[in-house]
Amino acid sequence: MSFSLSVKNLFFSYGDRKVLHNVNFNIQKGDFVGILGPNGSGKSTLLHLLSGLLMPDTGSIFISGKNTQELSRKNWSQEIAIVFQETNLNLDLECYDVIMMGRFPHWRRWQKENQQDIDSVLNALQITNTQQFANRPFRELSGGEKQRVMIARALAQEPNILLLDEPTSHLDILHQLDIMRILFLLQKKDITILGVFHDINLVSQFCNQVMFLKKGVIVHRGLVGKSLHAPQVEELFDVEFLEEIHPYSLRPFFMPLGIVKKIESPSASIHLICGGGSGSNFMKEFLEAGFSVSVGIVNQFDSDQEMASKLGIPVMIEKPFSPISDDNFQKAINLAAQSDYIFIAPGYWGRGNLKNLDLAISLQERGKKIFFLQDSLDRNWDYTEGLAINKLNLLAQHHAEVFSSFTELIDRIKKDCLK
Amino acid sequence: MKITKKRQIILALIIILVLSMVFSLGIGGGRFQISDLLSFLQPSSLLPTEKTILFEIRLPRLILSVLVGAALSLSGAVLQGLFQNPLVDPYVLGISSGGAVGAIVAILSGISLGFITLPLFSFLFALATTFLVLRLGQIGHKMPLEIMLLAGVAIGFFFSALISLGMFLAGENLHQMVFWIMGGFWNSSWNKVYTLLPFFLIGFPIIFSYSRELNTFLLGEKVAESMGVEVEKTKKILLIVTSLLVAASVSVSGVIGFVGLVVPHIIRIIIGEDHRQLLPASLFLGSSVLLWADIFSRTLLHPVELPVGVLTSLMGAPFFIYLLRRKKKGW
Amino acid sequence: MSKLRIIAILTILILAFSSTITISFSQPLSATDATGFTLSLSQPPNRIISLAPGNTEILFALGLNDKIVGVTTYCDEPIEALKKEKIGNVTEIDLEKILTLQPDLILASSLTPEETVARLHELSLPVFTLKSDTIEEVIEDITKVAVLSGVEIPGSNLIKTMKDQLKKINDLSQSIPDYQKPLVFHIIWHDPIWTAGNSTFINEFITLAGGKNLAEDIQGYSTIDFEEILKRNPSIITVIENHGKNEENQLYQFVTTDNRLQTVAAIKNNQVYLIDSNLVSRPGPRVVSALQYFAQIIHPEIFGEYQNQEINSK
Repeated sequence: MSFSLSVKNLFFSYGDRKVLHNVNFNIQKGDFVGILGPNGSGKSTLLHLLSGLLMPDTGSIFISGKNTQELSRKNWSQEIAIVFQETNLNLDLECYDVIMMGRFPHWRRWQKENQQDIDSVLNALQITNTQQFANRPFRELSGGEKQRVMIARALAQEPNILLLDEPTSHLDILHQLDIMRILFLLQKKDITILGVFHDINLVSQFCNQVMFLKKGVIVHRGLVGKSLHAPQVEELFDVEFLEEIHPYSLRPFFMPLGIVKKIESPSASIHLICGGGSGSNFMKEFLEAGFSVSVGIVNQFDSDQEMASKLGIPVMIEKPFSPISDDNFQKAINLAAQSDYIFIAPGYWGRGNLKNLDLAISLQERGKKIFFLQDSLDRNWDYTEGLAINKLNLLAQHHAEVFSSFTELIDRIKKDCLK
Repeated sequence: MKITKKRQIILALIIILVLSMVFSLGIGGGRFQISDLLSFLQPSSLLPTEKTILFEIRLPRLILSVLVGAALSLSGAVLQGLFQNPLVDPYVLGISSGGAVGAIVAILSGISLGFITLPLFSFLFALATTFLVLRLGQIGHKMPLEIMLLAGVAIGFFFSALISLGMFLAGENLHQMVFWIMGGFWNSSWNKVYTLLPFFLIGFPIIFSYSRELNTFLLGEKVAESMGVEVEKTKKILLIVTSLLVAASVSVSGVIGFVGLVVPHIIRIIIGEDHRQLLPASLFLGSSVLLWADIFSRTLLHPVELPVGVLTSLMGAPFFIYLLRRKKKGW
Repeated sequence: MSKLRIIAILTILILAFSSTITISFSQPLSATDATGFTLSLSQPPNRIISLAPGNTEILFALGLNDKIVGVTTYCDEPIEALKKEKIGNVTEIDLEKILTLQPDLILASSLTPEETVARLHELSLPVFTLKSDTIEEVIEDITKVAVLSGVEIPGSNLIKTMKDQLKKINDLSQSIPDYQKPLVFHIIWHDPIWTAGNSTFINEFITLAGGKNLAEDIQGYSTIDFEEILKRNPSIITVIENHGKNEENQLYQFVTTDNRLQTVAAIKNNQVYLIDSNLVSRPGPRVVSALQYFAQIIHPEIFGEYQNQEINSK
């Protein structure tokens, strides 16, 4: 099987600084590969090497089976075209002429433009939907429109491989999607595409292959469906992500959680008693404060349960729609006993979760500090005809601490930690 | 602007040039005399003196001013396209200061190889300066143009100091130096035309063949290279060819400013940046401009001759400002 | 005659004599220069500085060589001038040097920068500016220097000689009718062509010598359209010979060999003459000699053949 693009043992450094280290990969015709990686991982350099703007220290690149070392500059440009990040150029030239420049690699020195050139340009105009700009000066276009013209210029080269270096970074969402759609459709014309993107979701939504580049090394590669998931993304960027399935495209969709990895040494540990969504916010707050959290008892499919699971927080789960079993009760006590503090989130109390308050009472008897907020004592939240309030009062009588605001509580814990 | 309109403008420029050349044949004695013009058609009926005036003085002078005007404005357009910098003129690589130092060395040293002494010295020094700047501006195999510009500026300053020193030491030869530097066509002869001609005949086609490359430079060197342009080779060839043209021009007619800087800009405002039309248009307009400047230099204070460089600036600056203002208001 | 009468006459004669002597001694050394400045010296100067080669020549011609304490680097005539202390060139003058030399008379020229002259005045130095545009004015300037230096006798000799020569030439050339006045083209440099128009010494030389200056409709020293030279067709061309710069005189070569000048009468008839540049550009005692040379070149039939040794070596 002959590959569209094949890279073997590629090494590159800028002086002493090693940028790419033993890069190897093969790409098939018609693949749309998204290259992801943090800053300085060498993504841009890789594209420069593939397009011949830089020469590798060692290693070879094969385009359509031909070794690039044997290609002339012109021939290389007939195989590969590259589009860069942005063009803030103010050219008076008409877009048609700009795109026609892309035909350069096909011309000899004194050769005039022929019908093939014209057809190529018209085709490029059509694919990128830029016909209406053909006779307008380039400088009059918006950023997104200019990028489309630049892609048209690259397409006029009639390359087998199209490279794009963060082509959408400076564009508004409309133009970003515009361009991604154009690229997506190019696959049908058997053009291989490699794009460096800063936006994981553009890759997940439009590419069929993904390549992870970190510190000059390919750390991961594969089909988007298989290789592009939260764990790999987290490892690549050192940021926690929430992965969902996009309801429309049914492809993975990533949302950064803003927390920097797992806290290695938490300053305190808190067991959170919550349910029905009352605890999600507090989970986040505790984690951001640098505390470790455990949760329980919540029913399966309860939104607090799902959040805790996603956040990787130890959680005591009861069967869906079922009351709390004795067995789970005991397990919850064991789990909570490992924490420094127990916090009861304000929320509704019903027959189903009343036993969580008993859990708190038991823990208090074992000497655990119980915290809850003033809000919890609001009768409107008690659907147990006063039983919940009684239990809360009981806790309070036995030296549970009641705070008027959550910030007070956090401050209190932090103060304790300093001691 | 449609290409047909651009071509029409170029045609108009050619016609203007040809008419101007014909007209200038009749300029003598401080005014236009149609009898002079007609005399060109009947050379056998002329007295020896009249024949000498028309064919040995007037004709080579007009051809020289046309050639130099063409060389300077073409080179200016090319260099502005290469450097992607509107402030660049043909002397950016220190050619004018090099040429002036060459002339000064010739004058001060007293070496005499006949009449080619000054032009030869100036040509060699101009070329040497350019190659020095090119060398300084080269890093490895590449020629980063910003560095080259700076090298040109630095060398220019140094040579200007040398020129001042030369003038200081000149003594009674001072006026000679000053006039050489001011530039003019006073001593035009067929010899000078013959020495320049090969440079033009070879240089012009080479430059024109790179029109499309220069267009790609508008997109930036990186993009140009990715489109198949051999960027470093293109830079080298164009820099060398323009340097030869400019050095040759400076060696025969001194330092004539303004034409190389402004004529391409005037054309850009009228026709646009496409080098396929910009280059020839600059060439024809530059020729006409310098021709007319020379006509005025010969006639305004007849029989005294003014330095032509003064006139090019006086004529061109107001017109350029007018064009700039029109451009600002939008077409 | 009685002894009394003889004694009386002798006494009167002696008194008359002494009074003239005292009159001449008590008359102040004073003159007004070109800038309108009047300089008065209480006694003849003993330490004179010259700021121009022409002025140096004047001082030597007046016999004041022993009194010269400073000259410019361009002062080369006569040869003895080269041995004198240098105070700079014509435009860059070492004021400190001048002060250390303690001059009691400084002769400036039209080439001396005005600021320098002003500075010398500020320093209360006795500076006298010589500026002349005609031969007559040169003679006047020489007279002024003679007066200031108290050298009437050698001064008046020189002046008388110059005036006589001038008159003689003038008289002879006055009688020449217009149509016998050849058109003379004086060339100073060829790149660009540089000549001397009206209001220049050259113009005066040519005119007083009985010729017509080709460039007489041009003011001062200037460029000229090449075509005009051919059109006006001079019968004589005088070429400036520069000093020491070229072994073969470039300008002379140009004039005699350039193919465009071949149709000019002066070239065809071999009427191209070399003139020493210093001779014609220094307002000094040799101006009338310069006029003499021009007269010989233009009307050898009246004034005799022009002899210039350098030409013979060509």
